[in-house]
Amino acid sequence: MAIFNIQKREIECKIVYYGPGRCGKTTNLEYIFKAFKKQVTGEMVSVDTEGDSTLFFDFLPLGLGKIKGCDVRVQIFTVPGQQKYSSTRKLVLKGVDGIVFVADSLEVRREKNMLSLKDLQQNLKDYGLSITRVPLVMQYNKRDLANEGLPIMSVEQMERDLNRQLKVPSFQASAIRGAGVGNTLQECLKLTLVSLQRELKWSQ
Amino acid sequence: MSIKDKVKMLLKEAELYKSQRLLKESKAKYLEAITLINTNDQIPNKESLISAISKKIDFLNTGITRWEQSASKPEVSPKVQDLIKKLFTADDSLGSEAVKALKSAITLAKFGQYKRAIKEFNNLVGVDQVAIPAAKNSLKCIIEIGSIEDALSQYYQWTKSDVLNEEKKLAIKNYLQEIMERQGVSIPIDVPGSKEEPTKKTVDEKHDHEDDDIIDITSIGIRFNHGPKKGDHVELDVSFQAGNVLSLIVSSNDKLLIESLKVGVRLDDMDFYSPIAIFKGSGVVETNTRIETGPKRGDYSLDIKIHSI
Repeated sequence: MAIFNIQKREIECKIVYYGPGRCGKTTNLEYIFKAFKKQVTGEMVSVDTEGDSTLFFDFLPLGLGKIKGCDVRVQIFTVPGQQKYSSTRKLVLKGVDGIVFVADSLEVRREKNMLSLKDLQQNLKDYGLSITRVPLVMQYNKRDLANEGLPIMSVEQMERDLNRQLKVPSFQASAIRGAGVGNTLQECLKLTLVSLQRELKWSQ
Repeated sequence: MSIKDKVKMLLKEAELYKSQRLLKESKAKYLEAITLINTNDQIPNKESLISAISKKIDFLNTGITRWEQSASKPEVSPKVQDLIKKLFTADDSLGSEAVKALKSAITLAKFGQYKRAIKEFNNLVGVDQVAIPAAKNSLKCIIEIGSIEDALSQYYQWTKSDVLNEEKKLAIKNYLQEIMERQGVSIPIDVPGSKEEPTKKTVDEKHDHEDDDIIDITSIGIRFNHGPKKGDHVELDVSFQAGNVLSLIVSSNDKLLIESLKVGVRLDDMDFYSPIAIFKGSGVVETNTRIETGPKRGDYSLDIKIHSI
């Protein structure tokens, strides 16, 4: 839930990277941290396990400067994707303003993608939000792994699996190389700010 | 593609999945490779090849087991705990310092940081405004990482130190008793200092007792069956919960909603959203007050008492 300080004309909103375990949510944030130095306003925090999986969350604060007379600050989080962290995932999702759903392009992860999207839908519902209304962007990550000889799904198949009904903007990406990361984030920020502007009725 | 090439491809895939830390997927590919080798006589050095692959599977199994047995919410460093408190405690500019401290300790408990949460709850047990929820939450956390006996021992420490008055001691005793009953433990609990051990519950105590069963509610949904919002369904975040009383803030812009939630209005069709599930139930509006100071000036503060859940 965005925090709008009318006196100071400041808005702080929350973007969450959601998706199955090992799909590349943290890698997205690591790239953003490196590539968007100008916007990054603090350290990236990762709370991970010995096995390098996200344990609680990753956190990265961004400042977008003045938009329509308001200073816009963004808190970006990732959730832990693995099934065993379901309660933490739900806690991190609370108060979300915009979501990037990172799907794994590997064929072997097809079912995990769908389960994770279903989990997102249920968690949003529990918070009284609808997945069809919340600002949401899809990212089909790990496209580069096709070059390594691993079987990946076609974009058409991923669209059919995950985006047939939602019809939200989607991007191909290789987060490890930075490809598609910026576009995904920009689109999510755009949708989120438009939604907040409508909701909070903020103007110059 | 020859069998040899197929095996090579499977092994390469397995290695790549391993590099992605997809351990189960990697194991599946190694097993596929073993099956293929076993069913084919053209492959030289079958035994040593299978043995080498089996070693890789053993290594993966160790990783999978370690992962599966690891705690889902291990204790993290104080620095990370501070960050968790800062990032995940609802901003409550209206609440007192004690309420804010209680909320941030609850956040720690939700993230499984029980040891520090217990410490912070215990520091608040002496603060009148939050003594009961602090004590209850402390006991909950103690049971989570220890046992009922540990919780009892903590309770007796409080009673001996006179940090709680008689009324509060009784409320906490009842809460602990209820937990014990649910878990099938029957240890009598004394209320040191009380002249008479209550044998019969008064009506009020009975209600207090019911309050103790209420779980944490994060938000509510109200379906209006009458009044100006008849037919509407609204969802509101809970800003604070004390037992079965939920406090909410309603924006001054939502005049119809404020009018629909006058004191005494019974809400028969409610959804109570908790971190674990949604419960159906009913409630009654207990207070509806205009906020006169602070950043939420002009908005309305409402207390809704849960009637049934």
